[in-house]
Amino acid sequence: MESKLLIRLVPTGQVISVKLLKTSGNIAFDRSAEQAVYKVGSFDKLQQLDIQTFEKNFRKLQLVFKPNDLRL
Amino acid sequence: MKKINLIIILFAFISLSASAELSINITKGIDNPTKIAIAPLSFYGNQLPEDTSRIIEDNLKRSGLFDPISRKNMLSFPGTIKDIYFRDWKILGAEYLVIGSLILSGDFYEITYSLLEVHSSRLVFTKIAKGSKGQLRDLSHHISDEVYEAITGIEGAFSTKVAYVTSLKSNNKTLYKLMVSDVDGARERLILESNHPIMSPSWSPDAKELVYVSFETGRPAVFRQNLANANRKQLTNFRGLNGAPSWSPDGKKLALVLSKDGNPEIYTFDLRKEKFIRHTNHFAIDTEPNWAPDSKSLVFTSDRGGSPQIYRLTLKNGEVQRLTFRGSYNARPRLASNGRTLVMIHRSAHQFHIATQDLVNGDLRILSNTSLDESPTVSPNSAMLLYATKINNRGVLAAVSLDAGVKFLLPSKQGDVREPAWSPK
Repeated sequence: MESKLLIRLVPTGQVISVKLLKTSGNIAFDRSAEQAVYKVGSFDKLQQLDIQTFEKNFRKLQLVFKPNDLRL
Repeated sequence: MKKINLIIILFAFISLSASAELSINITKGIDNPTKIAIAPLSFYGNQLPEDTSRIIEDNLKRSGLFDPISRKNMLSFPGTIKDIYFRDWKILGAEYLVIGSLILSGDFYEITYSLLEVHSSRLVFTKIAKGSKGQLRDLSHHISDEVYEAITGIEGAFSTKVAYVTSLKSNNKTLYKLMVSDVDGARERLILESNHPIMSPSWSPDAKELVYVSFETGRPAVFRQNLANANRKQLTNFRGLNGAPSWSPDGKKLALVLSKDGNPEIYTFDLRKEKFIRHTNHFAIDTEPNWAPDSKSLVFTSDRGGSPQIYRLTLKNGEVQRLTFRGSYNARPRLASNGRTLVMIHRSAHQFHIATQDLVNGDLRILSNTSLDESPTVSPNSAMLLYATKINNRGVLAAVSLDAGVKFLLPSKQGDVREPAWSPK
């Protein structure tokens, strides 16, 4: 099972939007992945990056969720 | 379950994807209960006989997968979507919100309810549940099932029942009662009362009938009883042991133990043809049969190897295969509806615990930390199990999730409670 999300961040580390790029086929799992990102809200450590590194790597970020240790 | 908490992801595996956007793989999650707010149902008129929102809250909380937000902390009680201020719910840390409104039309209740994601301010669904005035509890359980399934991806089991036997001693006599209640313990109903022991209730797959063992005739006999009209029928009247009936998932047969030909052996009983077929023939004790979900094989306990262990019997060819090898005592098998998780009593360090064994990878997991545990029964969605145990010398029922993450006791009002049987869907 694998969901792919596109996350948009601003240099403060704050999450601006979360978009599902590829569904895992399980709606509950996709939703849980999205919720996990929303729940973080802000990746504060990103503020320590210089702006070029941020723009290059973190303005738009893809997250792939494929946990190996799910219950059930 | 299918829930991930993203805590620190930046040390996860980083790779650059083709689109040049950084791609991070998350391969480990932490199972934390989901924060959910169940706003009190809005309605006009007299107070309702049941607090539906509270029932939903309690159900979700008991599943262990949810952490409901206390009603007294809520800043508003929206009844419709346009009344929701998502900020209010974000402040409380809610990930999900359930709202609903009830109208009475004639003799029927109609509840319109919605599940919403708080962070993204998104509607997951709006649904309508209808029921008669006496069915407010059923409606609450139904809504709990819908919410649970939407968030976890697993079918809910809040609308199911549990059968169990209580015994109460007074004046040197013991009174036995076969009872049925909702899984939350509410709406307890008496099915049979007797001065002789009642044992081993097992549900029909449509949850309309029970089979059980009663000693009322002076020796153990298997009875079948309809729950709606209380019609009952005695199915066995053999010398010796007549016990441990288990109704097949396809509804056609019972598996049971009879010792009419000498020592305890596994039989099946065809309910339509009323015919017994003997399946085991061994000088050891074969007992406690339970069906696989496809009704094609049975698991049972036998001491044919020198100690009680669990075996599988394929009905088509009579083949017997040993399933448990760890420990010197594994008994009372129950197969979860997923067909993969074997639940049993496992003795370790002189204590009897509830354990599961994964039939695919062989993993053994001890679930209970009480001792003297007996009679495990699995929920139809394979997420929880109930079992009987002793606390302060009193028989009580306890529940544990199949991943051992949630445990709780269901205290009895009086007397001892034993032999729980979780109903099918």
